[in-house]
Parts: sequence; C-alpha cells; structure tokens
Amino acid sequence: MPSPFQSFQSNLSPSKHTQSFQELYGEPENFLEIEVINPITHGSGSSMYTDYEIVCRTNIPMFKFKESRVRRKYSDFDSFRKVLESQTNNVVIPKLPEKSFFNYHRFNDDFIEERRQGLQQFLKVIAGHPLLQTGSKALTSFVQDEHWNKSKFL
Amino acid sequence: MNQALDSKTLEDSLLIVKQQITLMRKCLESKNPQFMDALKHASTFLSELRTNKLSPKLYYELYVLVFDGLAYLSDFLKESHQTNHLADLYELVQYAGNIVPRLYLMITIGSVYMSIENAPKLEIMKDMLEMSAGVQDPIRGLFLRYYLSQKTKELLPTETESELKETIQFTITNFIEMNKLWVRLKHQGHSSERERRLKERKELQILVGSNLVRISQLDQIDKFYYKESILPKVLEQIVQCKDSLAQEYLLDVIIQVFPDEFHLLTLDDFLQSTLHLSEGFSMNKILVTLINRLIDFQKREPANVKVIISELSTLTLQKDEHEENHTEESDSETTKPQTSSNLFEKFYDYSHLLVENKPELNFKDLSLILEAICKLSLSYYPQDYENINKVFGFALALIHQTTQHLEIWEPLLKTPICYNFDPKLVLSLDDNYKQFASALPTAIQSANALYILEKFLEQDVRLSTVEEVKTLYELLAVWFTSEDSSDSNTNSLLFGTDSSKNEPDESPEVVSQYEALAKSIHLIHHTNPYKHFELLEIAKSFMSKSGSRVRYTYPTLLFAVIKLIRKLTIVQKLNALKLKQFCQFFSATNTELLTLVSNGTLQSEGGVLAQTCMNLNLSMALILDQSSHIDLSYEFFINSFVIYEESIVDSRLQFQCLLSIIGTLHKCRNIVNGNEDNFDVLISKTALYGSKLLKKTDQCRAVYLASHLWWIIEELDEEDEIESETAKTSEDELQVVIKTDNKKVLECLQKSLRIADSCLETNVSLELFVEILSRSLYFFIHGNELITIKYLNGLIELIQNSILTIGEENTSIDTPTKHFQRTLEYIRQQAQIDSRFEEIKDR
Amino acid sequence: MSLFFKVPLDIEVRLDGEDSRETVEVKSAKGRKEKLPVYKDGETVKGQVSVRLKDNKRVEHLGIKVQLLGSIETKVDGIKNDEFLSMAHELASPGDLRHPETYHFEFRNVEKQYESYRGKNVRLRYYIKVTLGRKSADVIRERELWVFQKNQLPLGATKPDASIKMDVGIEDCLHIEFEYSRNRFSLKDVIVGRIYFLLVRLKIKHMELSLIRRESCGAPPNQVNDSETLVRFEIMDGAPVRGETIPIRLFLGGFDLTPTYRDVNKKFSTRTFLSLVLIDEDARRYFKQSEIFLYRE
Repeated sequence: MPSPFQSFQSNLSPSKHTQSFQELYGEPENFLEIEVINPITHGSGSSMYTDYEIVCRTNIPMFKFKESRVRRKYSDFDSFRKVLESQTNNVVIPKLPEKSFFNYHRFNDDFIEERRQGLQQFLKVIAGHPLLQTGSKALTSFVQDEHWNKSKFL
Repeated sequence: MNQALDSKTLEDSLLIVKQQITLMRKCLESKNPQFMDALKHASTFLSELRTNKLSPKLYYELYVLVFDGLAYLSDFLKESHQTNHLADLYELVQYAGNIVPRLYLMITIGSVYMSIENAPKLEIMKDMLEMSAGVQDPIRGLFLRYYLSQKTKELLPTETESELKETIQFTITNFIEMNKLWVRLKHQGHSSERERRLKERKELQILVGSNLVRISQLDQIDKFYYKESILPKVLEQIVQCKDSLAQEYLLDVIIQVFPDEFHLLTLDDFLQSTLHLSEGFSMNKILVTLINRLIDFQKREPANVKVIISELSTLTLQKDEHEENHTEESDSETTKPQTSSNLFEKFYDYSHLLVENKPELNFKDLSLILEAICKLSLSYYPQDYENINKVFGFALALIHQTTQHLEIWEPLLKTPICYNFDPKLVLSLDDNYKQFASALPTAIQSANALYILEKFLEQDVRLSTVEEVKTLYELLAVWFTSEDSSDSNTNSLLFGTDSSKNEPDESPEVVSQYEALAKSIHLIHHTNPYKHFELLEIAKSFMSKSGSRVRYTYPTLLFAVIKLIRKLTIVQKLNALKLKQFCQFFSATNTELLTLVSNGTLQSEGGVLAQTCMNLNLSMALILDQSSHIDLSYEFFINSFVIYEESIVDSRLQFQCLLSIIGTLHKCRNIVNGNEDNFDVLISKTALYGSKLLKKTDQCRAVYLASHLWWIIEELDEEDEIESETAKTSEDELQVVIKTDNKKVLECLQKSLRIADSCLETNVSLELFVEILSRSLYFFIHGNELITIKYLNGLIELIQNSILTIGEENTSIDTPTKHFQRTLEYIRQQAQIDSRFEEIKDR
Repeated sequence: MSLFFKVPLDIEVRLDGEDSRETVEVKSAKGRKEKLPVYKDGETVKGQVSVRLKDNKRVEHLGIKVQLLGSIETKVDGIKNDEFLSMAHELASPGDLRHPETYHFEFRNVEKQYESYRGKNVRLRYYIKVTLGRKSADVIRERELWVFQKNQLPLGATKPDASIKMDVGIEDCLHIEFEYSRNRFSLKDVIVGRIYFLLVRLKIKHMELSLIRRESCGAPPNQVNDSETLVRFEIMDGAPVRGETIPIRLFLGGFDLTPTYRDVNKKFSTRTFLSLVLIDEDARRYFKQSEIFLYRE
C-alpha cells in the first residue's frame, strides 16, 4: 500500500517549473470587466431610441484596448447576436432580454433598467467565452469599436 | 457587497458550524466513540469555509469557530491514536470530495500525527504544505495556510541541522505562498473596489506576518544563519512582490520580530534591498523604526553592540577579499563602494544612494531619515561631530533644491541639541549647520535658537572660550537681526489702535527669547576675571545688534561687570588700568541704554529703564566705594544724579530713586573717610532733591530719611560682639561711628517737620508727625545730643493735640493713632532699661 | 407458474466454508444489496445441494444436475445471453424422491476466465445452477458467485508504468500541462500527478478530477456505450495564475471501480477515464480525459 506521505512530487519526475517573480506577484492575465451602464434615450416620437454604454476593461490581448467605452442600442445587440449565431455552431449563445411586449412601455425607467441588466449579463457571458474571444472578430468589434457595423460580419 | 447581507451569511454559517460541532462532540464523547460520524460532521462544518460571500473580517470569525471545533477533534485524536491509526486516518480524510474541508482535515490529523513519537514529521510537513497549493483562492488559501502554520508551530522539528533546515524551508515556503495570495488579492473583484481590497488586505496582513514570527521564535537560529539563509530569501520576496503594502508591513515585521543584533549584522543587506522597493513606498517609517531599534540596542547592550560591530568588520573584510578575487576574474564588474563597518557611514552612504535611486522620494521622508541618521550618530559616535556636519552638509544641498514646506526640516535642525547630552555639541558643528539653519524660515530659526539656549540654561553649560561665546550667539543670530515685531507695532500705531498703551508691544516669544538671552550672560564664565570680561565684551557685540531690545540684556551684562569687580576686590587683585576699562565699558553701555530713554523709543517704559540705569550706576558706585576707588565711585554717583535729574520725570519714580540713592550712600564707607567733602556734596544734593519732590509726603519722608546720611554708624553684629567681650561694658564701643553730625540731623528733622505741618490734610500731617517721632527716637537712642527730651516731649504734645483736633473717633486717623500708641508703648518699655526715657512724658 | 403449480420441494445450495469466505456486497438489479461469496480463478467450487420435500409427498423426477455456469448478459437489442463457461455434474438419476437428500458436488480447479461484473447494459455472472427435471416444469435453483480476477495484467497497457503527460489548452486562452505518475493502477492504488498552468486567461473557479467508467457492449455499428461518473474530486479552489503547479493525489481504494476489460469474450469492454475538468465563473466546463488502466492486485 502506498504511504500517504509519498509526496506528490516524489512520484513524478521533478518539476522543471519554478515560479518566476512575475508569475508569483504579477497581475493575473484574466482581467476582464464588462459593464453595460448609463442608458440614454434619444430623439422623440417614432425615432425615439435608447442606447447604453458598454465599458470594457481588460488585459486580455485579444481586445484592442485596455479600456473602452462605446454606445450601443438594443438593436445592435440583436444584430450582434445574429452575427455570433451565424459564425459559430458549437457555442451556445445566450438569449437577449425579452423585447417589450407593449411599445409604450419601451422607455419606462424600470424596463430600461431591467433591460440594461439583461444586456450586461448577456455581454459578460459572451465576452468571457474563450472560443468567442479567439474565434470571433465581431466580439471585439462590438465591445470596443466606436461604431458597430454588422454588415462587415454577415 | 451588502454588509447586512454579509453578516446574515455569517450568522447562518456560524449556526451551522455550531450545530455540527455539537454533533461531532456527541459522537466523540459517547462511550463508543463514532469517529467516522464525527469526521462527517467536521467535514460538514468545514464546508462552510468554502464560502466566497464573506469579507476577510467575517471569514475570520468563521475561521475562529471552526478552529475551536477542530481542536476538539485534535484532542480526541491525541488521546485515542492507539485505536485510530493516524496514518490510516490521514489517508481516509483524503477521500473528502472538496478540497477545502479535505485539507483542513489533513492538517488536523497530520499535526496530531506529528506530535507523536517516531512519526515521519518531515514527510507530514512537506505533504501538508505541498497539498495546500490546491487552494488558489486568496482568502481561503491564506486562512488554510494560516491554519497550517498555527497547527504546526509547536511541532516543527529542530533537533538536527537538517531538521532545522527543513523547518525553515517549510515556513519560508508557506510565507512565500501566503504573500503571493495576499498580493494577488488586490486584483480580485471589481476594479472600482480597489480601496476596499486594500483595507481587506490590511486586515489580513497579520496572517502573512505570522510566518516571520514563527521563524523568529526558532531559538536555534543565530545571527549568521539568519544572515546567510533566512533574510536573503525573505527580502527577495519583499522586494520582488512590488506591492507597497506588503513591503511596508513585512519590513516592519522583520524589524520588530528579529533581535537587534540580527539587524545590526545584516544592515547592509537590509539597506541594499530597500533601494529596490516600489514607488509609493514610504521609506522613512521603516528606516526610522530600524534606526531607533539600533539606538535602543546601543543604549541597552553597548558591549554586545561592540562585539557585533567587530564581527561586522570581519565579515566586511572577508567580503571585500572575496570581491577582489572576483574582480580579478572579471574586470568589467563595477566596483562596489567600500563598505565600512561604521554604522554612520553605512546610513550616510545609503541616504545618498536613496536620493540617486529613488528620485520620487519626498523631502519630508528624507528629512526624517536624515534626522534618524543624525540620532544614530549621536548615539553610537557621540564625539564624532564630523558625522553631524556631513548630515547637515547633505541636508543643505537638498534644501537648496526646494523652497516649499521648509518647516519639515525643523526636527532635523533640532536633532543635535535634542539628542545629545552635551549641548555644547552644537557649538562644535561647522558652518553647514548654521547655513542650514539660516536657509529655513525665521520663525523656525528663532524657535530653534530658543531651544538651543534653553538646553544650555537647563544644564548650566558654561561658556568659557571666545569661540564658544561667539558660536553660541551666532546660532542665535536670528534674534539680533529681526525687528519684525517693532515694525508691526508701528503699523498698529499708524492705524491708531490703542494709543494710550504706548509700550512697544513685544510678543511673548520675543520676551521669552530675550529673557533666555539675558540669562545666557550668566553662562559666560572664565576663572580669570579679565578673560571673563573679554567674553562679556564679545557677548555685548552680539547683543548690541538687537536695537531697543538691548534693554533686556544690557542690565544683566552690567551686573556681570559689577560681579567681576566685586570678585576682584575680594581677592584684592583689581588692576587699576583694567578697572578703568571696566568702567568705560560700563558707562558706554549704560549710556546706550539711556539713549533709548532720551530718544523716546520706549515711551513710558523709558522711566523704568532710566531708573534701572540709575540703579546700575549706584551699584557700580557702591562697589567702587567698597574697592576703595573713591574717585571713580564719586563719578558714578554724580552720573546717577545726572540720570536722576535728566531722565527721571515721574514723581513716584523720583521718590523711589531717591530712596535708592539714600540707601546706597548710607552703605558707603570709603568715600566718607577718604573724601568727606565729596561725600558731603553728594548727601547735601540728595537732601536737596528730597525737598524738591512734588508731593509733600514724599518731600517729608525723603528729608527725614536723608537725615541718616549725616548719622552713619555701623553696628557690630553678633560675631564681632563675642570677639570683643571687653567692649561690651561700654555702649559706645558696640558701634563704629562713621559720620555723626548732630546739627545736620536736627536740621533735616526740623525741615521734615515743617513740611509735614504744611500738609493740607491734618490726618496726613499726623501720620508724618508720628513717623518723624520714630526717627527722632532713633537719633535720641543713638546719642544725638540735639535731640533732647524736651524736643521729644514737644513732638508728642504736637501729635496729641493734633489727634484731639481731628477727633479721636475719626476713622481716617486709625492707622497713625495706632502707630503712635505703639511708639508710646515702646518708650515705656525703653524706660525700664534706659533711665533717660523716664523723663519723656506720656499721658 | 407457481401460482398454478405449487412447487413440491425446496432446493438449497450450500458452499463449503461459506461462513468464512470472503464476500462482496453488490447491488442487485432491483437496487437491493446482496452479499456474494468470492472465488478466484482456478479455485475449486464445491458444496452441497439439499433437496427437501414439502408435505412429505413423494416427488418423481427426471434427474437432478448441478451446473457451474459463466455467462454474459447484454441488453443490446433485447436481452442476450452468452455462456462462456458451462460445467455440469449429475447428482441423481431419474427416479423418485421420498426423503430429503443431500448431494455433494465439486468443480475442480475451475478456470474462471473473467471477472464478475454488473454494469448498466451488461452483466457477467458466475452461478451454480441446480436443475431437478420434471415432466411438468423443472425446479431450478441458482446461486451466484462473485469472481475476482487477481493479478490480471491490464489489457492494452502497452508499457507498464508509463506516465501520462499532456499539454492541452485553448489557443490564447488556456494552456496547461498535466502529468499523472502512471497510466495503470491497481484498484487500491493512488493516482499522483500535477497540473502546471502556462497560460490562464479564463476566470477559473474550480478544478476537478473525475473518474468515469465507460462500458461498451456489442460490436459497431450496434455498439452501445454508457458512461458513468464514479468519482468527483475537487483538486483546486480558486483561480490559478501562470506558473502555478497544482498537486493531484487521489486514493482509489475507497471507490467502487472496475478493472479495465477489453472485449470480454468479444461482448463488452469496461474502461476508466481520468477527466480533468476546469470550471469557470460562468459555469463553463473545460475538460480533458485520459484513459487509465485499472487492475486488481
């Protein structure tokens, strides 16, 4: 019976790795913060719409900027999601928050807040997905580019 | 995170843990202990430690409870390990599916196992340490490793050298891992919560530091081992973690937990590594703590310090040799500056390196560091003033780079005087110190000057060389040049505020400065009075720069001269030529003071100063009389009279001054004997002054007092009486007659009587009559023949009539009436021993 | 049948030294636990068969025989039964039974090629079968044995004690290197290993090691596979960074594992995989499976 005190090292070839100081004390390489905040409703009448600010802070090199702030509408999220679905087949893309059933309801504060949270959750999951990070150019473009141009990806 | 939510989570967890501990104890305490079930309960409560919903503080509360729970398990195992084979149990608990409970159980059992004889301690230690790597979450990892450290602390083997090595390795590895997790914690959570993370990390710091405490508790480690095998490893981590909280805390822990002798021996290593600390790290705290420790060490164990310093120089020597060999091999290597075993040099060189290597270091920190270095030098090398000069040279260079916040340098400025037993140190410093001082704001210079002077006064430090006097007053130079307050005074006058109060409004600071300055004159001392006088002249040359404020210091200076003359008189070594010098000095100085009065600088204060000047002159005159320089004495009396006439305007002051003159003249002996004509001039003048006073009462009193100047007899004191027992028989021989002039005395009394009678208020007259009666009785007793019984009876009658006229009941004459009654009583008593009194009639 | 025809006798199979024999507890198909006697390969199986008459009535029979059978039952496309071992002794010739009788039997040094196994779709069993032939319906009594195959060299293990080393990851996201001390283990062994992280851009929350038993039966294309996670073992809590080494140590003795079988009688296989699973903050799982070979010591 093996002794319980056989250290895990002793059963293996000696480890060739010693941690460097950078590794011991450096910033982890998985820093990624996505926030959807600051909804603003623009225009009036039938051209009225709300957009949201996407704040991204990261040290993951797939992103072009360490910190970025862009504004997107719900419809942008919607088209972004469609792009993702068309690009990948083995990644389950989470759903966006529901569309409002009643149109008059769309600019209600509670609704906007609920939607903001939903969009943030959606984007967090998407942005943190390793396959999308590496496989989808649309992701970094949507999160960080000043303007979102879905036609580039469809 | 919501705090209320946090504590709710904690409460829930605590409840579960408590319940499970109770259940576990039931299992263990029953007659047939159900150990497996106990383990299951333990594992259940340990699962609570898997939470990530608690802040470190709350997690700690949970940890404490869990710790207690596991202690029951440990105790049980200790007692029952015969039946529960620990090696098997150690394996058994490793089936736990979750890593956190598994490792806590492993450590609990492993540590009990370690406590048993012949257990494979080293293997157990290593295994627990290696397996702990599975917990990468900073908070959970830190607490787990803290548990490991707590449970093993009493058990780490140190019997053999290799065991000790393993134990240290174990502790340092745990330290490194904990430091890693602790630093990593700062990156956890949202970036907007950095502040909170920092606070949390502070709360956790003690966990990391506990490893260093552990090492410091190993008695087997000596300072050389520490230097070779421990400190380098720890410092490396501290430097490389590049986290200022960790650096500041851990360096402080090192300083606090290891003995001072370790620090002394490893000073170079320690200092060298601090040069590589991250920006934003506040250096001064660590360095100041370190230096203070070393200073205390020196105070506590000077012998030990000596030994270590000599060891240090041996080490340095070896190291140098080693390096020399090394440089022979590779010339490209930059030669390190020669390290010396002189502690001051080490720190001093270090302070330069610090400035070079850490440009971001602020002046405040630097000033504190230099202050500490200064203190160190004063403690270790109290005689080596050159060190202090160096520090101030460096400080001077630094201070030239900035004009802001100069006040931060004040503590450094005060250090030499503050931390040395001998305040004279400050006199030995070179120009760097003075230049440094003068680069600072006046207020600071001024405060420092006072601080220095107070130290001198406190310890009564004598100044006995020209150098000392000059240097001290140079250090106080700031007082002699600044006249700020009088400027501000003119301003306030311009705006017409409170013109009734004309005195120069000196601030309390200035007053205390000059008070101290005046006292400082008494510190000047030389066994040779002529040399002493030269020192006083030097002192005056500084004081003279302080404008009207000389009024605070000159009188003291003049008294110092008088003292010198008295001293010389006693030893009878007064050289006439030198005396002349003294007198010139005195007169010149006194004249300067009087100028202040005459030019009106001092307004109403001038009268008092003039009085002082006059009194000083009188004192001088008296001492000159006593030293038989009657001509000089006469001159000073004349000078006094000039001052009286020219500068004493206030009638009240005039009266006081006359009293002084009368008193002084009355004490003169030599001038009376040597040149009675001169003396008569003086006393006649005095009597005349008296009769010219403004108020009748003053006139009257001055005149009857002046009468004594014609009747000077010296009564022998007790000792003389015993010596000349034969003289006792004759009354006359008990006294030495200096001057007796019956007629003049009577004239004075008569004159005063006339003045008294001319008073408008009868009660005042009465009062004066009674006083004159007293005087008359004095002269009667002492044998003035012109003061006859008849004369006295006449006076008594006059008084009695006067009382009758006013009316006995009038309360305004209570005091003189009582005085009169007492006088009569006195006469009655005298009658019993002196028959002459019998003829004085009383009612 | 017994509803209509009452069985007139009891048959009991007793094995020699039954009380002192090692037993194993296994779950029956109905989820009950049963205790079975353990036999080794080549071990003699002997015992007695007792026949008791009910109601003391005479029973006419066509002969009594005892068999030792080994069979593989599979549930692929209906239940199939394949006997790989069949031995028989006649205990009594046809005749009448008037009294209770006890018969001794002995199967000498029986080769038991395979280990007993109860899986999801397959079971391999050894049993004693006593048959009392009758005109109406035979009376049958079965007694199951459990066979352990000790010291069996694992099939498919090419080199003994080769360690497993692997370099896996997701490009630009995660890169790990892991190492298990060996690839074959006795059932009471301990798996030792380590994981070294070369790149971590994921927000990892946990890491687990699972032991997965995969049973496959039938031949392709009709092969049926079934995987069952037997053990879940957390080996890391929290997120590591680059350069971190995480130790692995998993004791196997306490788990209900099956040795590795390859193509048992061309009917089925059981294999065990060690799966390293990383779970991130969004509960995504990343895993890598490696087969280990288990054997009974």
